[in-house]
Amino acid sequence: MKLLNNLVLALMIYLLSENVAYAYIDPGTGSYLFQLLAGCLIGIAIFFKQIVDFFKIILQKIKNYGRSK
Amino acid sequence: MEEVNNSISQCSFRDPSGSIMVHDGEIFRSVNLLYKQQYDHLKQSGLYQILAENMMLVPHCEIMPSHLQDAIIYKILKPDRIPFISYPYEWCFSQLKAAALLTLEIQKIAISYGMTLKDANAYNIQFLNSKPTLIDTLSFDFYNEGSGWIALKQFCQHFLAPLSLAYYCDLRLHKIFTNFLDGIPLDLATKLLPLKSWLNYSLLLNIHIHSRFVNYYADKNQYDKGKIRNVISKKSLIGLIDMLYSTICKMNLNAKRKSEWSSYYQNNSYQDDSFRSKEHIIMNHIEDIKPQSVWDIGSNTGHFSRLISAEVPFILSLDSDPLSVEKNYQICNSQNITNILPLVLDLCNPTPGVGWNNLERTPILQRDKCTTILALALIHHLAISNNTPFLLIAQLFSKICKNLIIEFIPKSDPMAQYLLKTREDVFHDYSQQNFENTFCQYFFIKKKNLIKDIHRTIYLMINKY
Repeated sequence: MKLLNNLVLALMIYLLSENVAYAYIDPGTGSYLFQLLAGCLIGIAIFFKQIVDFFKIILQKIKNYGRSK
Repeated sequence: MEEVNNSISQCSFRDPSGSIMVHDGEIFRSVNLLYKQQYDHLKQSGLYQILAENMMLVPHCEIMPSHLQDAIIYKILKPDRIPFISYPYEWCFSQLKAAALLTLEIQKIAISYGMTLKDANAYNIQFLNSKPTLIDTLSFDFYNEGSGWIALKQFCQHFLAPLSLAYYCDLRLHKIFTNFLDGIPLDLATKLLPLKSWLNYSLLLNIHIHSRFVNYYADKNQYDKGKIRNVISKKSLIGLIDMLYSTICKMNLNAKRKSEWSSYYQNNSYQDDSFRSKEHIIMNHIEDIKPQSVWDIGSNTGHFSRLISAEVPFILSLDSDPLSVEKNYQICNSQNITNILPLVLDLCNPTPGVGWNNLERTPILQRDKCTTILALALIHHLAISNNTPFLLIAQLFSKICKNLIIEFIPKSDPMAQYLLKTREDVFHDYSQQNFENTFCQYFFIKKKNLIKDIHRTIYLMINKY
């Protein structure tokens, strides 16, 4: 998952590799769109973490059931 | 109120929500009608109370003169006094780190109360009882879920970038702040940071990728905020804040880091008896003059600042070496000493006035008057290393203090000899007699004590003017 994220990021770096700062900069636009990307990535990470946690709880319940039997 | 309005602080003009005013030496903050709803929510929601109780936001009381009829001002606040205003380019690494973590904690708490920080400016943080505190009560705005954090870029420029540069490159890079009032530009930070920083996922995202987004969209006006809204969920925003918090927490300076000055007390000319004698003399002088505040200039890791801390209400502990100031700050924190503020200051090049009209952030030597200066093991560095004549040193000290406790180091002293080791001795005026004659133009010598077993003298001088 981390490898996929890094590949996506590397592609975005390549696409957005222009690195010259202009004298008059809009302080919000680029940063806001960056937050969309960061928010998406973190949202995906949280989603997968919730799935992993869900399965961990199921496995724990199965183990506990097995022990009690 | 007219005379108060005329005293609007030179540093307070950017925010239409209110401004800082100075009247009879007291600081006030006006809350404009424009900000009425946000201010009322801040107080009524309980956010102000929880932050003020935990000293995360400077407490204030509301004052409302009966004769005030103003079309703009809603309320006037009198915040608790900050003993000394300092700026991020004067802080050590851990002070900036503490300020960054506080900003993130406040943002997270504010979101839970339906508010958000509309700016994440390092100048909004000051040190009160040696702990960082938010002083801009008007920094809060309503949080609309999905809208993200408008101040994220400012946070990255004011906190994340300088901390990363100090951590990965050099502590002295904090000086860049004096050239960039709105923090270190992300495109500059990404160029200066080493390749190692690209392996840190959070820095890769929040500095390197972020800078490219900012620059790519800098001149493009097609983006319509109305089309993309309510996309950044509260969970994602909290996740982003947690990621920044975790990244900054993990930036710990290596205990093995050393500088020329950080081991000074292990490598100097003092024997134990001489050192105790010096401590005894200084305590006597402090008990004699009972100062309200002391500036300990050239304090190194702050040993003498801590020695006198029980007798002096407030001590500014200043040194030019960032690592020494770092150690000083950490020791004060570990010993729970709250009346010492360690700052980075090079007296040969003190922090200047910066910003609009060079007054937006005032020069350090004009920010406050101090009662007493402690200048121990300093004069030979100023006079020999920096070639500063005694007259200029005396003039400077006489402008900023009433009392002066100063140690004279003769040329025969091993530390003075060390400074002269690799240079020609052109300092023919450097003598104790000449030192006394020059300083007597500005000070009375009240006491003069020779330190036991070494030929150093500590003077207690009182300003003539």
